Amino acid sequence: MTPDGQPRHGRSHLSPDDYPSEADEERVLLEVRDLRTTFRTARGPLRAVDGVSLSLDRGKTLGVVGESGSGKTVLSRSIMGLLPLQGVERSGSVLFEGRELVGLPPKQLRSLWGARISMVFQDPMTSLNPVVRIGRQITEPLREHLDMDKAEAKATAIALLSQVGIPSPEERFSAYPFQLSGGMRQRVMMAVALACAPRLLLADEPTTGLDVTVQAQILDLLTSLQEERNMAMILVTHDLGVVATRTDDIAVMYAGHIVEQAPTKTLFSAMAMPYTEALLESIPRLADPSHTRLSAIEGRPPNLLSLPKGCPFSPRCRYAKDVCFEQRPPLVPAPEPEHLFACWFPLGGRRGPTPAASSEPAMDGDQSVIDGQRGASPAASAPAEQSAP
Amino acid sequence: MSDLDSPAAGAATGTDARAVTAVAKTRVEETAEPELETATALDEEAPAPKKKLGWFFWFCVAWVVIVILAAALADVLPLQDPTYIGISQNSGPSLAHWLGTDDLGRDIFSRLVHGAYVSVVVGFGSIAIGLAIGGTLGMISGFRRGLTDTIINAGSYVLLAFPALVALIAIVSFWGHQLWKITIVIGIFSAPLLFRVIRAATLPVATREFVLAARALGASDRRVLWREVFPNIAPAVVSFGLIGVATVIVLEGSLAFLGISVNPQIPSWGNMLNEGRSNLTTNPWITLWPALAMFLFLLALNLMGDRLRQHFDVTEVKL
Repeated sequence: MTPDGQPRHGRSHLSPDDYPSEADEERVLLEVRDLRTTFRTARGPLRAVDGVSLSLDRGKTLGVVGESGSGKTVLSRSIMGLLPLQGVERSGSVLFEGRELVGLPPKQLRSLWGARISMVFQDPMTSLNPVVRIGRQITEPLREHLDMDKAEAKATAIALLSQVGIPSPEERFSAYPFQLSGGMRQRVMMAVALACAPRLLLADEPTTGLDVTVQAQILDLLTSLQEERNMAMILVTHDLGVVATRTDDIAVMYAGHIVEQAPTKTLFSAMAMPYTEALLESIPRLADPSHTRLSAIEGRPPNLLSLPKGCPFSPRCRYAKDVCFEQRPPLVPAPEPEHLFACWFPLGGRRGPTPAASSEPAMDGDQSVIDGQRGASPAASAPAEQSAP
Repeated sequence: MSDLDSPAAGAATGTDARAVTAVAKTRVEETAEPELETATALDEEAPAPKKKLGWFFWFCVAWVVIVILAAALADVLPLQDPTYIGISQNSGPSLAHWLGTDDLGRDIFSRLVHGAYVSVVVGFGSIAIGLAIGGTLGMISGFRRGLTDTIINAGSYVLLAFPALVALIAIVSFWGHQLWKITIVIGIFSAPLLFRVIRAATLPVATREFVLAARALGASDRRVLWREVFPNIAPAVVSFGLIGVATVIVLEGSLAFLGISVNPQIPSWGNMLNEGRSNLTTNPWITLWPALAMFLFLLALNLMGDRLRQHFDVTEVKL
């Protein structure tokens, strides 16, 4: 296990090379490689997404988990290309249905949005226009993308509303958002997002603003609609509990990087990253006696403008050792299939990657940090190779 | 007390429905934007206890509507010819001449009604032009930000830096005194002010999540601006537009008083003020009536605008 070999291994499961070539078009819907999104700020560039690679098959669900500020929302928007009009740079590659989305002209991108890729937003209270009737908000994409006439769009919209479980959809069609409850509004949002039968749905914390019982309903509804339509979904959330039963794969994000990625079962049975463990522990359990203190992750997510040297999680990690503060761990494969993690000292007593620090003079700190950061992204293996000797 | 009883509730909704249509009507008249109905219809269906605009607001609306109707129908109404020179000069109010006659023996009431036309056309016309230019640019500027914003902003500052009245006098005396020319020139000079207000109203709306959601559905910028942003800033546009109309009418009055607005033979409130100036000591009525008409019209417009602004401010918090 040498640092130069590891990133390649890490990438191998993500690249389509492993799949039979004729099945590529069929199976892989989305292929993200080394995606980077940088916001220009007054205090320097902010790397909200820093070298993320992932792939998603048709009809499958990927959970993206992380704290606030870990870059998960920006990741989902970067995949789609839905970024502010100014002050943002996006690089890397997003292949959707074999089409490169990075660098696609806005007009072509817009023809995909809503039609092939769609998004459900975090807060149903603010993501519906308060002064526009919900009927028009649903028919808008139908008329835009599918060229439906008014009556046809209305009939489809009413059918959609009843599909997402809204009682008396004919009446709701001409209601304003404030006349609906939070759960209803999120159902409407889903109807809007699903109107044109997209192949990929990005659900950005779709249940954050809702109470727990409604959360479960909304998630179940999402899952059933997804199965019905064989639609792939990226479910972004801070709650490992939410993704546990509803996803095929999970990617854990921290400070703009994927720090652990695995099939859902593997992740819960053999998690390697202390951050994942800490996230899991911070979910309250029903079995706990009352007044049990909820374990929280100490400290706060790092400021993306001044990331700590070394592993970004090191300042908060209870297992952190010297090397963690010095070098950023690369994303390497675990013994289990399709399981990647970025940690020098993974959980469960398994062996982590070998830090390059031993062969690196301590004085050359700056260079090693840069190499370490780059090394974390699977695609940028070249700088990691340099640091190897 | 009886207002709270159930039979009164039906009556109340009746009044409101009427009120809503009235607002929609006046608004369409004022800015010719049919989209505005959406914002008002919101109030119609609000389940929460409704905030009333109050009888005084409707009184103002009624007055403004009367003046607009008078301006539009002046030729049809059974009035004396406003340019007919009668025998009795400088007569006070009488049955034959309700508001008296001026120094040439022309009927003041008839001139007042006909004169409303100039004020109404200049007021609403130039604000409509200003909104078309300034409003569109303001929405684009507030939505796109960045370089576009900087450039349009700079342009607005350049135009604002002109002393408007002096520039108006220069342009109008050079170009001509026709009503439409005056309307266009004032409209262009009102554009930067309206631009600033509408840009400011657009800024917070443009960053709201539903705008992002609309973009995520593949809506083009134009669609987002028109369908998502505009209905949200419409209340601000209307209330500020009304106050703008009042300001512009005063401006036209000032031009007329200086004798450089529309042709002096055409009855207009400003021209009447100008004519009455020389007879102020002998017959103050000539000046008083157009001044009163203008004062009441402006007061009504300002109060309407102000009341609407208050009304929508609070509604926005609720949303």
